[in-house]
This record gives sequence, C-alpha cells and structure tokens, in this order.
Amino acid sequence: MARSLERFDPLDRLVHEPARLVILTALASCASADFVFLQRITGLTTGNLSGHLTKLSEGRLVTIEKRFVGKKPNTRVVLSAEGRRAVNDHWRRLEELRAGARGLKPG
Amino acid sequence: MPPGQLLLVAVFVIGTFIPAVLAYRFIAGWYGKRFGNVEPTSHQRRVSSLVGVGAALLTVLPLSLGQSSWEVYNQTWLVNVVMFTMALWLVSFWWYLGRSLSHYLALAAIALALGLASIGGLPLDTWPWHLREATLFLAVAFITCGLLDHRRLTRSLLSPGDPVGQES
Repeated sequence: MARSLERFDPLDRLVHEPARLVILTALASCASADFVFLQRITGLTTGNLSGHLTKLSEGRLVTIEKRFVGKKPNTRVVLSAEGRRAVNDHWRRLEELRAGARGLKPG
Repeated sequence: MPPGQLLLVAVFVIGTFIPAVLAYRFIAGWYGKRFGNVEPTSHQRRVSSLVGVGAALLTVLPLSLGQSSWEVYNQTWLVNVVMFTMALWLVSFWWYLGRSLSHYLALAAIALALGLASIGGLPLDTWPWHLREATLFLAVAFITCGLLDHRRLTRSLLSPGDPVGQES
C-alpha cells in the first residue's frame, strides 16, 4: 500500500485544511463572495474566518477587498488565478488518491 | 383595442410590475444581509438571463400566437400549450440547478398531468380551463417551490459562533 501511495506528492496544507478547502471550493464556483456568505457556509467565527482568509491571501490564493455597501463595511473575497489552479489541482489529486486506494488489496 | 382599455391594461401592468420589482429588491436585500452575497460569473449570468427570457417567452409566445382562437377554444388549448412549455422549462431549470431540487421536477409533472388530463377529456376538459386558473396554479406552485428553496437554503447554511451581521 505504501508504494502505491508514495507516488502522490504531499498535499498542500494551505489548501487541504477543511475550512480553507470549503472556502476555496465555494469561491471556485462564483466570481466573488462576501464575508457573511463565507461565514455561513463554514460556520466559523468572525475571528477564525478572518485568520483563514489572511492565510489564503498571504499565499496569494485569494484577494480580499474591503469596501462599503451603503454605509456598511463589506469584505469581498475573490479567488485568484493561482488559487483556482491550486484548488482544481487539489481536488484532482484527491480524486487520484481515492481512485488509487480503491485498487489496493489488503495483504 | 379601444384607447380606454389600453390605458387600463397599461396601468394594470405598471401597477403590478412596480410592486414586483420593489418586492424583489426587498427580498434580495434581506437574503443578502442574512446569508451574504455571491456574485455569479459572467457565464452564470448569461445562463440565468437565458433561463428568465426562456420562461417569459414560453409563457407569452403560445398565448400571443393563438390569440385569435381564444374565443373559439375558450383558451383551453392555449393554456395547455403553456402548461407543456412551462413543464419543459421547469425540467430544464431543475437540470440547470444541478438536478438536486426535485420539487421543480414534481411541479413539472403536475403541470404536465394537468395539461394531459385536459386534452384526454378528463373532468378538467369540461371545466373552464382559462389563463387565470393556469396563472393561479403557477403562482401557487412557484411560491411553494420558493418556500422549499428557502427551507433548503436555511438548513444547508451554518450559524457561526459569532453573531452574524457585523458586516454587511
């Protein structure tokens, strides 16, 4: 089993973390999403979500835009081209890993 | 159409259109504030425009094309055509939404069954099957589907630990 799994590169921790994977996957299916929506789909607290978004932004996977909608502050998050590539690659690798594990036999 | 009647129709159309637009803006704002906003991609925008225009055309065109035979056929067959085209549109819409919201499929089946029952001479054929009944059916059906969509949305989204609404 170990040999079959050896050919898989280690997964990118920045993308693989569950909350960040949810954020990136959601952003991959739209042009942009705001902070409240991301909070609703992840169930994270404001502080936790901010932390994850900062890490993704530092990794250049998303761009964060602070603006005002009416008189209220609004945070808009957009997936970068690099982020789109990273999340697509990640899902492809997970699919490959699952397909590879399906063919494994015990013993 | 006499000018007085035309004016009445125009007032009716504007009088229903403005509250509909205001209601849409209010509901969209409420959802945005409570559940956040997502901006669709340009492709998604194009497809949703196509879906909206398709629904309007599939409803209006059959009625417009056969307007001259309204009195002869008591609107029945025209309404049947609308029910069929709406059923077709609903199946397309269900497919477009990812084949998960099965209540749209159920709604299409009901519309199709009502149309078929009427054509087949079932009790509906003897009942005056007018545009108003079809409109009423579609209104009730779409409100029901909207409520089911809302239930689906509120159940699938999570409540964060912190109070929502600090940011718009």
